[in-house]
Amino acid sequence: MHIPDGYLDLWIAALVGLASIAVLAIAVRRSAGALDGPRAPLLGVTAAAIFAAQMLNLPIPGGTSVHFVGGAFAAILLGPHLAALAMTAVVAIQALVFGDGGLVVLGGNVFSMAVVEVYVGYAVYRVVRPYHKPAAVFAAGWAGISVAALTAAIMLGASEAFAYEVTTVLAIMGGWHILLGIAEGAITLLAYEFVAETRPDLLADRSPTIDSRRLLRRGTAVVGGLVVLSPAFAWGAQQVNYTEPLEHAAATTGATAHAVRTLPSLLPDYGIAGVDPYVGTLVSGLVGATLVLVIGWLAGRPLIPDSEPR
Amino acid sequence: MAVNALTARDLSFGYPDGTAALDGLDLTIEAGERVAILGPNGAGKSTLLSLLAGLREPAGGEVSYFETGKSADDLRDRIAHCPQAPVDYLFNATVREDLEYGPAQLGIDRREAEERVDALAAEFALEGLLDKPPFRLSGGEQRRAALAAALSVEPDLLLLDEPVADVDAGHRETVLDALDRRTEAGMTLVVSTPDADLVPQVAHRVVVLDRAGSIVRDGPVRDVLTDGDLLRDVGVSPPQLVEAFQRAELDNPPLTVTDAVERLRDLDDC
Amino acid sequence: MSPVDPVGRSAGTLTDQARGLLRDERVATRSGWLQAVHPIVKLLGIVALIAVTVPFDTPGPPAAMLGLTIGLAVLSRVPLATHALRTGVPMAVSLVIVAPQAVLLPGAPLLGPVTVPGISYAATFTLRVGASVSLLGLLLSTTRFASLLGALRTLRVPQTAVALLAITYRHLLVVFEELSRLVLARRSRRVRSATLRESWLEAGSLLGTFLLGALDRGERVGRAARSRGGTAGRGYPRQRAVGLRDAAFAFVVFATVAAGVLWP
Ligand SMILES: Nc1ncnc2c1ncn2[C@@H]1O[C@H](COP(=O)(O)OP(=O)(O)O)[C@@H](O)[C@H]1O
Ligand SMILES: [Mg+2]
Repeated sequence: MHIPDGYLDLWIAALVGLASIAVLAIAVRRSAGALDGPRAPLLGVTAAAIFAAQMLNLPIPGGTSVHFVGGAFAAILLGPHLAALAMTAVVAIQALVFGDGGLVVLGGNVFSMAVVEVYVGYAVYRVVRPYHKPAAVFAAGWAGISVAALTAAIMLGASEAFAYEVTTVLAIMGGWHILLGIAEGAITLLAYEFVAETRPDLLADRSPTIDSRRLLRRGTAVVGGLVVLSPAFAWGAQQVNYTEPLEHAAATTGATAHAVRTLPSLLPDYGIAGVDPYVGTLVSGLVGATLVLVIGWLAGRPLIPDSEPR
Repeated sequence: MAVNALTARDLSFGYPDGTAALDGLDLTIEAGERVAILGPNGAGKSTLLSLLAGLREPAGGEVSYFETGKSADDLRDRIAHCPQAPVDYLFNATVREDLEYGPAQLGIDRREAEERVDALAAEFALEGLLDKPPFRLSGGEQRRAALAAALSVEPDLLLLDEPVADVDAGHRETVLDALDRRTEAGMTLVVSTPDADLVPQVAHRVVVLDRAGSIVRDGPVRDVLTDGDLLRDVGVSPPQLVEAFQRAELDNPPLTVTDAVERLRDLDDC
Repeated sequence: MSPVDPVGRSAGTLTDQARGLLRDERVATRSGWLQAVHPIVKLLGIVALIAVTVPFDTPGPPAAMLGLTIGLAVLSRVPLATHALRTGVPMAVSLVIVAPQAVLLPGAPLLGPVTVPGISYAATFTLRVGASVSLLGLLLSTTRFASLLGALRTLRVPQTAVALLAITYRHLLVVFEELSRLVLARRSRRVRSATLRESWLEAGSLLGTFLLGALDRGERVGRAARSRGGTAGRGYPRQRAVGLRDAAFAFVVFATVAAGVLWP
């Protein structure tokens, strides 16, 4: 998900970079004072550890492996504001030391992996937690990754430099990461269970500044807004992208749908016959997301460690 | 009358996992004193030192410094604390940057800071290591570097947690001599250790903590260290020289090797 | 212990990353052109060069930029094989990603379904990515991270952010070593290869242990920083005079950016 330089239009990189700075400024203010004292080292060391943890490979059926990302886990452990700052350090170090992800697009990468992933993960966690804790943790990991990937896909799709349409990128990247998200959800849950058992004090409620109903309303508003806006993005990108006639986009999408069909996807066509293609993408996206969530929930359950002594 | 460097009143602390480390501890240390905190592993020595250095918030009680009423954070140019694990103390890119860190935070002039770094590097045999990353040093080297870094602010009160735990014999002398020079110049020193043999070399007064983290004895080194039963009770072995002389049923056991040699010569002469 | 086991393989990944980091630090201390350029000049110059490369939609200018970076690499004694690998892999990945556009973009046919605009787009895109990645690679392999942080500080990036990055960087190698030790310790106690479920359960508790350890260490480091006057991150700046090599690099950047902007 690390976007290198050359993939995004400069104005998109700049815009999203500014958005990241705005959010991080709020995060710094919200964690008021916490950062000047002993917290900066705490965050720094934790960030370094998350970076290392991202190199932990996990086997998935089929012989390949996935790795842990950690945004949602950090949010649950540190609270969203500190987690956003720690993940920003991770993403920045990855670009500035290892060349993972570009320099000019750093703001964009921070936005998807440190801002969206953390806050979405945390919001999902807070909303679901009153009903079922393990499900909340799993869903946080899954949603964090998936929405982060969708964000990256929208940035890429909206960029003229990257010739694919938003819908295409969303379908491919989103589809893939919604699957990867299951792994992230599962490993987030396993690590959480371990912490809950050994250091429950760390997960104790840190007097929430916002009650979950308000969070639910706000979260719904944000997600709803994004969902409503995403076809508008697609449409806008096409309007701007006059090098490519509109009818050609259909061919592109068709070709992609073909490629996607080879993935073990749930809705191979990403569209619904007789429905406007944008609405179709939207609906199938939502249905797919819900299905994956349910499957993940069921799949995650046997993974919860038995309470036998380790 | 000397001022108190440190006064702790009714100090309590528990860890978030429920471990109660200290409960209602009182301690007063006069400026210029050399005090050892002696106790077995897990007694709460490290916890106590970090509380005395104002690095943890006590659950109850308070600590005041130099009778000023100021908090430890306002006195970081006068109080230094060197933790048990030096690797966590040295968090800069190179040893030189670590030695400069304290002076830089306290706004000390650059030329002055460089002079201090050079002097400390010479004193603690760190000259060849200044440009290495600290975590690439050996345990003993790290310990010396951490001590040098703590001394770079030229504190009036130094709290040292097991300062020679993994230092070899030669450098142990280096460290102890450096501490002697500082205390002769008026620095107050508090050293924690589980090793009674070290106590006479660093302190005049010793405070004994038991496993529950309570003070069971506080007094002049000679009085306390010759009380073998008390020490064994809390789980600390008495100094070897004391043990040897007491088993030989000789009274007034020596605390340092020099004293012991003298005593043995006297015995020989008889 | 099975050799193909992904969790066990992670220790190797960690070691590789650590090795790459140390290699960059070594190259950054060689005497070469870019190493001698002031970090602020270099950082701003590289950002400008990437920004001027990215908007081009013909393959010529990005190719020229890629050539320029190779010249800079040679003059800075950056090991070319490593640099080529570092640049080539992202280029290859990008090429694979945009290759379908060679067919999809409409226009004069070149060969079979491949069109002229299509092939031109794929080439431009790949070269653009290559030039940007190569530029970033030059920055990373000729600059010590500490001086990069110094540059950020001078550029008024908030102290807290710089302190956060400094401490993160400072602890990378420490936590890499810690995690690979943990992974190896667990692996070495295993007599037969792990099932999928075991691998996951194990990875979960491994991650938990490791991250909790990191939190504890972070708290200890935080206390150390507090006892030493805080994390305001003040330091004594290592002043360096701006010299001929800075001027030369600034000139190259200026000329290239001007040429890029004035390109017809
Ligand atoms: N971070 C911690 N969390 C929970 N308990 C701790 C922590 N650190 C120390 N303890 C416990 O507090 C007690 C005192 O520890 P410590 O002060 O380190 O002892 P000492 O330095 O005398 O060996 C011990 O029982 C130890 O297990
Ligand atoms: Mg201790």
